[in-house]
Amino acid sequence: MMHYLLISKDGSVQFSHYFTHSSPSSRPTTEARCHFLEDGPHTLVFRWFGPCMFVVAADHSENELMIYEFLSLYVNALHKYFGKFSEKHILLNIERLHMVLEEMVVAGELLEPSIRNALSPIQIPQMNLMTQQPCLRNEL
Amino acid sequence: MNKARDSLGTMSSIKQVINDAVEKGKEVYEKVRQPNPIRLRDLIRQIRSAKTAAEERAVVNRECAYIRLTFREEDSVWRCRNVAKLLYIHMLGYPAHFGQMECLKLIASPRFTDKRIGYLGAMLLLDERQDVHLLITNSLKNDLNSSTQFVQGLALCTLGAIASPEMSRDLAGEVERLLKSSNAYIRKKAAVCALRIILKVPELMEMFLPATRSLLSEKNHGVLITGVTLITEMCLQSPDMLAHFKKIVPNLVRILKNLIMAGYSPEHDVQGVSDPFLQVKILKLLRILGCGDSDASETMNDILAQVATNTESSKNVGNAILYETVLSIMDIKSESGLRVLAINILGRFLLNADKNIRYVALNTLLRVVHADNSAVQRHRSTILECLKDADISIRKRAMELCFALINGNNIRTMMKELLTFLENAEPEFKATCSSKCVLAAEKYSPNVRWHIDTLLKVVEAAGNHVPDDVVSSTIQLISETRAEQAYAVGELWRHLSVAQLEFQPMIQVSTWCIGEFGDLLLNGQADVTVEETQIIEIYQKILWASQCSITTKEYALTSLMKLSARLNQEVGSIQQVVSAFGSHLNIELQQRGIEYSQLFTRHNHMRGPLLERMPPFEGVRGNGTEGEKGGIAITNGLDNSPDNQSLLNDLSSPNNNNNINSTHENNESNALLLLLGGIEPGEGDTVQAVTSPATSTINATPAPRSTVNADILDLLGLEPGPTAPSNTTTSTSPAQLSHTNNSSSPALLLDGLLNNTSSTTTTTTAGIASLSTPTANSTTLPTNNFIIPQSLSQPSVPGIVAYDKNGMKLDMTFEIQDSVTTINMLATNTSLAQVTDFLFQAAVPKSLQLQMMTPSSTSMAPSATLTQVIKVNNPSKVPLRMRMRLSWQANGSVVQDQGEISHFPPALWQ
Repeated sequence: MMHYLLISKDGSVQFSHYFTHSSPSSRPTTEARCHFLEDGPHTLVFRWFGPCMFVVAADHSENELMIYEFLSLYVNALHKYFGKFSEKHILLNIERLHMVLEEMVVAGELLEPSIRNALSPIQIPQMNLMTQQPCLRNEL
Repeated sequence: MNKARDSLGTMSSIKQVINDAVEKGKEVYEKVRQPNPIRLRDLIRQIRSAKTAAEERAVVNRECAYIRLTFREEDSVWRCRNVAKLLYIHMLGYPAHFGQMECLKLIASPRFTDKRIGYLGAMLLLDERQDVHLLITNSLKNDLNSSTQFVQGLALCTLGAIASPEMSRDLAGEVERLLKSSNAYIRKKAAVCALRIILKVPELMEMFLPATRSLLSEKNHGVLITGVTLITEMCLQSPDMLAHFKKIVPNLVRILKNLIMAGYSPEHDVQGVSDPFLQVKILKLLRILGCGDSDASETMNDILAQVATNTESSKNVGNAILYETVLSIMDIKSESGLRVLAINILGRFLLNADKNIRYVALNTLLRVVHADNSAVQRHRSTILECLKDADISIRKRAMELCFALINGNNIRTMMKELLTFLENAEPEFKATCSSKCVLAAEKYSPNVRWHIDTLLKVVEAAGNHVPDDVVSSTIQLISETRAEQAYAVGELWRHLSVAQLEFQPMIQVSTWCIGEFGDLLLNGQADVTVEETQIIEIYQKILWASQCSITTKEYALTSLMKLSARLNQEVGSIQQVVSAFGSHLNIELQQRGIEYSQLFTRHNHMRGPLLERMPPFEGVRGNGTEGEKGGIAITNGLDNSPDNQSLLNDLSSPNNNNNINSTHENNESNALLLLLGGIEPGEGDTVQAVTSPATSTINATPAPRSTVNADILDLLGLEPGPTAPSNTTTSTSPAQLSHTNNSSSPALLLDGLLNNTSSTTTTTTAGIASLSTPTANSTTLPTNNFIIPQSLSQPSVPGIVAYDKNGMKLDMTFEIQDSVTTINMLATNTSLAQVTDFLFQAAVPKSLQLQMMTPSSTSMAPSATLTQVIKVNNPSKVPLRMRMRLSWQANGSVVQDQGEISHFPPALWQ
């Protein structure tokens, strides 16, 4: 099971999403040094994409290499969703990052290994039915 | 049908137009009333452009104040935007829990955007307050029954993240219904929700069973993968489920086969591998189903072989699958040929240039080393190479694996490598590594000389990061092997004469041994030539060096005192040094100085017999190594708190350490017995012990608890000697034992005593009463006069019973120092069951700071106890209240309780 995912740049947190509840005091704030790292009850898996480091904390029993692969799945999904994903998106579309992630991981378990399936419910452009419109309108 | 949908569509678009118009109107009104709140992205820009932390705080505080204001005004138009901003602020680490209720309001809103942000906020902000949970349960229930799949999806997503046991019970029915939905989007989300629910409330598992089976006949990979995950969790949770799902092994094998055989499918392809995520999940489930079951293993043998041979290993995905396959092969009852294949894959992994792969290889070897030691031994040299890797994670794994690989045949070479590793290792490795070296050496050492050499090298290589148990093990080993004492003391003298004085453990071991066996050093048995003056010189250097810790100086002072009975010419200068400590600033050293100088003057006739050599510590070792499990903090007197082990049995310091460890072990009365009787009564010197206060007192009282007090009374009555009080109190007062593992400075010793007198009526009171009788007070010894007033000046606060239910009793006693209250909690298991996983959590009002120390143990046998120290800083002197949550396991079930402690004695804050 995965517990949280966070994106960091220059040692500061740019984005974090918690799949399971954890008390604020136990949430990490600093960056780590290499790809897999033991951190108490979790294994931290991280991967650099450009200047940004993506970190996932997972149970020790999880397959670290698969989590590592998942990070690239997520980034590919973001690429596809935004056209071309860059750190600017992390800065300005933080809620969309949450949205994409929620289509791929729920309760810390991978939900959808196919990027196309994951994105299809949130990509329907400007649907007419207001209550069915899953995209966030530009009101944040 | 189509028509209906169309008309619905038209209706909704009309509705939207109206809604939009209404909103527009509102917006116009808002613009007139007050400026719009800034947008989230503008806030992010502002915060990002802040140059200093203070500037950032200012931006955040200003925005938070504004957001609070709009919340108070019940502004529903911008609520969504404000909560989104608050979530961002929360992510940066600022408090944002005042937004909780706003999230609930957003969730209840009919607008999708509101719901989105509301649920996101709920996932991030909600704590486990029950009222909030109750409210959100209702909203979730409504949304799970919504007619829109996206709303249902959102609710499932949130439930998966925050479900509590109560929520799980309330909503399991809804989730079960959605698990049977015809919509794959809903079904996969419902499956992970079901997983979360059975994690919280395992009894609900049965309910999902029928719906789960059909998940595997699904084409959609999302549903398949979540279905497999759900079944995996069910099998892990219950043996019945495991048995039930054995029959799906052929289905899983078929799915896996199809995945491998299937041609390229763009949808699930990752670097040329077809859906590795699903493959890995299935392999994991196969592993659980095939574990210990030869029939099931038989069925999956072929497919595992196929995966292991056909998977491309040049990319990360391929290796991820191979890794999972190897784990499965090693766990099930697989054919021997397959196991060889698996181990070979790991061998290839170990040589891989990619560090991630090397890491998982070591990890896997660590998991299989106990099952198949010889296969792992083949890779020993590669593993030893990994000890030198630049990556910390790899080094850590390699170290653990090395210790698992040590046996009688390879101990010499392995230890050599490990010592090199230990020397250069990071501080965080040194403690564990040195403890494990000691264990391994004890188990496999080829001879005693080698054993002693190794321990000395360990102590030397680990520098200041040696755990106390290593120091005591070393001393103990030397103490019990008479034949090697001369050799050891010679080696230690060589170390000490060139020592840099900054590494305390080595000096402690050296001084202890030279104190005990100094005569061997001088009579030429030790293969070195030493002048008495040289010894005194070194000791003076240690005693007055600023880089030596108090504990080390205590070792040295006592050792020097011992030497006064071993040396011939230099006794005069020893007396000089010792009496100089009579005015030392440290109270413990001062006390020793004064006491020891009495031995030169008034009680000179007793000095010889008192300072006899200690009898060897036999049979207590092993205890000393417990520290490794309990993770005892490294003290060695290096931290600046005055927590030196002030007990006089510093002379016999290995015992001291051992006893502290055994209190960790959870049974105080055992510890007490051990302290008093654990060592066999020594040979000749026990008779004097009753009259002489020094270390041998311990040997003199091998009595069970009931008679201990009498002995102590005797001791006190006979001779209220300088050292008797502190020594005996430590060993008898149960309250005191709770201090031993953190701090036992002399002031505290008596403080504990005085607390006892005033509040409790344990058996020790008799002993204490005699202490405060004129006999004790009339003694003219300056030490007593010095200590007692100090401890009297501290207010004595009565202890309280904080909790007494469900077979668990918590007693608290208090010590106050300025604004810091130290709460010594003594937990007693009053039930008849073994308690494990004991966990005490506490919270105090915001203006107070709370610091919880590690408990002495987490498990208790019936009627055993454990201790935990809690420090509360109360600078503003507000009344102390504490919320606590307790949990432990007894009889296989988890007991949980929470409550508030509000009956703390007011003296704590007045």
